[in-house]
Formats: sequence, C-alpha cells, structure tokens
Amino acid sequence: MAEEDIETKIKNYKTAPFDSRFPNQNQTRNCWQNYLDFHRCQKAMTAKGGNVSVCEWYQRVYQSLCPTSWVTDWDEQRAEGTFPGKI
Amino acid sequence: MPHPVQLGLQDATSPIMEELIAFHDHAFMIVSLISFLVLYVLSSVLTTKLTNTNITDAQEMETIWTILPAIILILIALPSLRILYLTDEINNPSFTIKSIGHQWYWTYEYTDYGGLIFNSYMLPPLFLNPGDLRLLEVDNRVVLPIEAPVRMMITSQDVLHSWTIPTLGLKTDAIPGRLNQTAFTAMRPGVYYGQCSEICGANHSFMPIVAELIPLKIFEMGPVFTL
Repeated sequence: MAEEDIETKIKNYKTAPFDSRFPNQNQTRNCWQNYLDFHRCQKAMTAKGGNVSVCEWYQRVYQSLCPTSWVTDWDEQRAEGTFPGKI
Repeated sequence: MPHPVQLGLQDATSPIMEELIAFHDHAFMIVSLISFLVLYVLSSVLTTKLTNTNITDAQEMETIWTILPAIILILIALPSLRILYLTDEINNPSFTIKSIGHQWYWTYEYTDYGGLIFNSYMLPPLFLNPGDLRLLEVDNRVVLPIEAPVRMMITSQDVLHSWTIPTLGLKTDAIPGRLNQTAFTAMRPGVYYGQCSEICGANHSFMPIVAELIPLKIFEMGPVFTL
C-alpha cells in the first residue's frame, strides 16, 4: 500500500478506510484530524507553489466522516478567524 | 420485522445479531434451569413432612454449591466476551453513511461520492397507506446495500437520541458533539424498523428509523428520486 501513488489512491477511493489511530467507537477526532490535515496541507502546498490535488485524500475522508453541519460551521469559523484549530 | 404479541427477539438480518440470538437462548436456558431448580427445592422444602433437628454441617454440599455457580458464570461469560470482540473486529467498510438526530427526525447524509442529504420524518397516522405500520413508517427511508460492510456514523444536532435497528443488532447513541461509529453487514434485503432509543423530548416516540436494504447492484445505480 505504501507503493501506491497518492493519485491512484485518490482515484480508487471508496470510503474512509480504517484508521488505526482511531480504532474505537468515538470517531470525532478522526473527522477533526482529517479536516485539519486537509487545510494544513492546502495551506502548505499553496505557500510552496506545489500541487494541491495531493491533499484531496484528506478532503475525501473528512467529507465521508464529518457531518456537513460541522464542516459548514468550521468553514465559517475559518473565514471569521475564530477557528479553534491550528492551521 | 416486529409483529403483534411478539415474545422474543426479531429475526436476525446480520451475522452479529444471529450470534446475539444464540447467546440469548443459551443464557435464557441457564437462567430458566436455575430458576426452576430453586423453585422446586423451595417448594419441596416447604411441603415436606420430614423433620431433622440434628443437621450441623454439610461441607460437601456447600463446596458444590459454591463451585458450580462459578462454573456456570464462566459458561455464560465466555460466549458473551466472544461476541463482544466480534463486534469490535476491524472490517473495511464499503460505504459510510451518516445519521444525525434532531428533535424529532433523522437526517441521513451520503457523502462518499458527492452529497445526498435528506430528512426522515415519521408519517403521521392520517398519511398512512393501507397496510402501513402506525408510528413506524417514515417519508424517506435510509437505503442501504446488502452483503457489503456499511459504516454508520451517528451524531446529534441537539439532544441525546439513539439510533437503533433491532434486527441488525444495532443500537448507538447519538450524542451532540461526538461522532459514534457502528458497522454492520446485512444478509438479506427487506425493510427494517427501529425507534429512537433515548428520551429526547415530546416526540421521542415519534421519530422512527426505517432501513430499506436493497441488492448492491441496484444501490450502486445511484439515487432515484420519487416525489
């Protein structure tokens, strides 16, 4: 699985796979972490002038897991500058 | 499928529920045998004409009725723990569907590919068709595939609710601010019902869950909207 290209991985995306960092019933952190990871990746790639499409994996995962109302709230908070996470 | 004057559990639609039913039968048999034995001993002790005023100790009997219950408890615990670990097995789900509880309806989100989001309200009695089940039917059912591991993410937008489908052996609390995961694999198609299982206000009894399980090929064809 480490040999697989990130582009192929994104293309073959079915749903958020099992993440051994979050093995239990409470998946709140899983959703939160992927949301943070996508926006950090996006910020870093944009700053370096790299290809943002490699960050798409995190976006697909958080879209699969997170309730859309949470995502909307967080997007608004980021726009306002009141987002509690560090991006 | 619940039916009138139902005494036991609903028939299983997932392998875990089959295990749970078998465990229930096993534990119920042990409990019934013990209860029957105690009732018999009690009644025979209370109705006998034999009297013996010289019994002082009964070491052997005391040993047996200490060791035997311990063994019985182990015989109950082992299958129970087996099922507990079975429910925790890592399965790679094919789909993730979110279920969000509100007062007093459920919202289902299918966001693996694109976004399909809809609400599921109970059908009021006046809106029922002939043959429909009162207090169980909804306007939009949550449609799921059979024979594929499905992951459900349950949460709530306001107060505590609980999302349950007994025939699949599922009951997961919907807690605001927390995302609970449960997974299942359904074995046969059909329409399965459940009811909100955590008190959540005036209409707690009126926010049922209806899962429509369809063959995988038809599920993959995508949503068909009916008005």
